[in-house]
Order: sequence, then structure tokens, then C-alpha cells
Amino acid sequence: MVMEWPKEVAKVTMGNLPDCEIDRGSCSKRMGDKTVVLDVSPKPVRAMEELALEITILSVQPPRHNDGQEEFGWLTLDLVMPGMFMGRNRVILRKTSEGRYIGRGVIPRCPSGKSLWKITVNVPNLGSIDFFFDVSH
Amino acid sequence: MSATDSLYVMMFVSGFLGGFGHCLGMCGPIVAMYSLHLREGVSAPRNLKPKGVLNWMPHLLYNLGRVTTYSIIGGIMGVTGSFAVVVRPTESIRNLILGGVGMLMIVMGLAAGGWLPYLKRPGGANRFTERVAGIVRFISGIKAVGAYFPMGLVLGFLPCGLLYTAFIAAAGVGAETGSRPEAFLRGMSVLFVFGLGTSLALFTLGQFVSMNAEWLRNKLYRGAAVLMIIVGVIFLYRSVR
Repeated sequence: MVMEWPKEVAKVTMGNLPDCEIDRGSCSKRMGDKTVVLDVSPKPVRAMEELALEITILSVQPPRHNDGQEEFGWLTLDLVMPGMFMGRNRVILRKTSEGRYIGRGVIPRCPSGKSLWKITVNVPNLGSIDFFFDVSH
Repeated sequence: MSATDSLYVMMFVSGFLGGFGHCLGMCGPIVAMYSLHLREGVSAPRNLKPKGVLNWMPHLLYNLGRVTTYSIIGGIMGVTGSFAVVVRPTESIRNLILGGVGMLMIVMGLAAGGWLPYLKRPGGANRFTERVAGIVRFISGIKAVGAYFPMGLVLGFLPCGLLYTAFIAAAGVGAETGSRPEAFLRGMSVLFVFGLGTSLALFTLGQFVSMNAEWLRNKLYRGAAVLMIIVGVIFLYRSVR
């Protein structure tokens, strides 16, 4: 289990808007020469339910031998509510096939009624990338 | 330091930071409400004679009650290894407690502000108002130190997002553990250290309010009463939403 304190957890981010309609399908973002695809199921994505979290990392360039893509067998996600300290909620995703990582997690319900959440995908050797989306209560 | 040890440290830090940044907003008004009454006189066993002990004992017992509830639920999370299985069925109970606390805060706020004049005369306006008056007099009249432990036990069920994240961690630790007793103990320990972290903030607030209760009552009583009513309405709204 990875135990370092995620940099993004304690960071207060105000005024963010969803950039991912997770209920309609997967979302993707560019990260260097890779594309990171996030999917969460079941849909609609609800708080307080066990969720299957899936990340797929696609190479924009055709993969070369020894390009470092095989160096990690897992990656992590941090589930963060922007503007509200909700503690550390880190999920480890295990590699199931080339570039595909799967794990399970729960998004807690905030009694404040806020529904905007952020998933920070931490990819070893590459860095991290954020996805903002709304969850149903 | 093992992964589990560092998880405990992280949970304590999470509780500590969340206590000042998160819990003070949710539980702070409740702590302030009961602390304002403490200076009026707390009865305690004679062996607890020194005034200093009487000052902090209610806060200690309230937080101990809260942490006990957290720890037991954490243990259950550990055994089941699932957050959703335990929390979802109990959500209606949590909302009921939130609504009850909200209503109580509204009535106490109205009473504290002097906006329920029938509370001051025996008999009341009718049977309903007399019942409300009786409840308010009972709550305001709690002076026994021991009452603060069960109060903490009940209020430990209040719904809280930060607490849910700690429960998720306890369920995760339990799912990785082989035997059920060990899973219970680990889940319980995770919530115990988390609860200790949150207690520092609430204990400090409670001590501050009860030490300055007289000044606060004289200067801010109407303002505090209005604030109490507003928080009560918010709690009530969240419980039925």
C-alpha cells in the first residue's frame, strides 16, 4: 500500500467546473505523449456506492521497445472534493492488461450537498492529471 | 515504519487537520451550545472537587463518547471490509439524528434568545408548548458530568463526509486482513486515532467557550442564539433533503 500524503488532497481549489461528463461515458485527457482515459461505473455515478474505477493509458506514438511503459504494475487515484477537506481517499488500481488499470473505491456524500468531485490520476514516471465531474446523490 | 503504522499517523493528521477545518463547522455549534451552560454549575462526585477538573471533564467525556461510536463503527467496517454495506442502511438513522439535533438547536436558540416567553412561566400556553418547555428545561438543566458521554455517543452518528472517508480507510484495512477479530481491531484502531485527532479541535473550542461563557453570554448571547437557530435550520434542511 502506498502511504505518502497526496499533494492534491489538502489543496483547496475554488470555482472549478466539471470538465468530464462521466455519466455519459469515459473521459480522456492528454498527458505528454500519452492519452489518459478515465471511466467510472456503474452509471449514473452515485456517492456512497462502491464504484469500479478504470484508467487506460494509450500511447499517441506507436510503442517502442524499452520506452518505460512496462515499468509500473499499478497506479493511484485520489478522490478529492474541491474546496472541502474530506481527508485522504486514495485508491490503488492494478494493471490488468497493457495500459489498463482497475480498482474499486467509494465517493462519500458530503452533507453540505456539494456534488463536484475531482479524480487526480497519479501515473508513475509521468505525473498527475485531474478530472472534474458531478456525482448524483 | 510499516504501511499500517503510517496509515495510523495519516489518519491522526487527517483528523487533526479536519478537526479544525471541517468538524468545527459541523460539531462546533453543538459544542458551543452545551459549553455555554457549563459555567452555570456542574455537579460532580465530591472526589472531583478541583474546579479545573470540572471545567474539562464534560469536554473529555463528550469527545470520548464520540470516539467510542466512531471506533465501534470502524471495527464493523473492518470486519465487513465494505463501506457501502454498513453505511447505506444506517443513513436514515444518521439523518434522523441530524434532524433531531437541528430541531433541538432551533428550540434552544429561541429559548436562549428569550423568544419563547412561555418557557419562563409554569403551565405554558398549551399542552404542546408545555412539552417543548419541559424538553428545553431538561436539556438546559443537564448539569451531571456523566451526561456528556452518552451525548457524545449519540452525536457520533451525525453524518459527516470527512468521517466517511475515515470509514472507507477502515474498510480497506479490514479487507486486507485475514482474520475477523484482527480486521475488527484494525478498523477500530483506524477510527480511534482519527477520532483522537478530531477531538483536539473540539476540546479546545469547548474549553474556550466554557472558560469565557460568562463574557460570551453577556456580550454575544443574542448573536449566539441567532447563530444557533441558523445552524439548526441548516441541519434540519440537510436531514430532509
